Amino acid sequence: MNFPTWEVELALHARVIHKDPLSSGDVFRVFMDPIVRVLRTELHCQRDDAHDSAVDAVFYYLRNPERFDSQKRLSTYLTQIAKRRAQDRQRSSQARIRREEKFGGEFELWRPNPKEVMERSVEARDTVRRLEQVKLRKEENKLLEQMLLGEKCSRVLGEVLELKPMPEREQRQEVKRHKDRLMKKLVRIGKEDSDDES
Amino acid sequence: MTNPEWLELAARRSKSETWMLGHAFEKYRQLEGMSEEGLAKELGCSVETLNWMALCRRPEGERFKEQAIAIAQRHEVDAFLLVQVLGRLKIVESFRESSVDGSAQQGGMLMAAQDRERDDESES
Repeated sequence: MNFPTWEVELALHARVIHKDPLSSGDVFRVFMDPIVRVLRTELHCQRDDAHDSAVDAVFYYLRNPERFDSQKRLSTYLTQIAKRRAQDRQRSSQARIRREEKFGGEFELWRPNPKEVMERSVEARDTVRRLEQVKLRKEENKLLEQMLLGEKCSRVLGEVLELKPMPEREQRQEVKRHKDRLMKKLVRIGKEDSDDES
Repeated sequence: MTNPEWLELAARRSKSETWMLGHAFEKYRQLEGMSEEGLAKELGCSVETLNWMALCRRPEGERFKEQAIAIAQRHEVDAFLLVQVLGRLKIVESFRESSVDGSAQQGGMLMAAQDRERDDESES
């Protein structure tokens, strides 16, 4: 599927501006496949990343269609946004790989003595036991698991918390609220434990 | 109508966009405790058609009915059923807006309104 002609793009943009209820679906229908193809062939994106980036671009445009300068091509505008999103994804994915490689290298160099390994293992087991006693709620457990795995994306954490669909900003605030509550709970437990030991 | 691989993703993301039909469908499903399959059945369409409709702009204002009919016709869905679902959601939302404090009395009024609407539907 190719990009439409300029006339078709202009007509579609006019419908979006006039809030035609069918126009948003038509923007997806007309532009998604060609944008995904560009991302796959030019940036060699993985299929999922290409889909995510193209969807990001279409939503960005639909939220604020007046930002698009109708003297230009809508296809170029959308493709540029999608490419930027895809490049951001590629950069963060490469950074993650580098971090993991660095961590792997450091882990290799760091050779703890057997006594240290045993002490840490006992400490870890003790921490797990304490967490089990805390009786966190199901969603708190899932949230803690994702946080320990390094997940920071509010959308992912929102799904873990089974939050109702809501605007992005509200979701970020809601996730932060849950995280803060969980951290307070953990700090309180840690404090209680250290008080018990002293 | 073919169903591309990205359709489900786009429909899922539409749930967070308050101006989209996907958001309205999601709110309605939560209100009714209904699955996507359940809502598709209520509208007499497939889940894929529901996903395509989710990408439309939510009908609003004076042209609400006209816009809902246009969406229904494009997706070969019974316009009456779509208007009914969106109309019910609209009533609940306006009650919620008018009862910011969420008092029990207003909650009761809301439930009564929903029941009354359902009674009207079953009678007609």
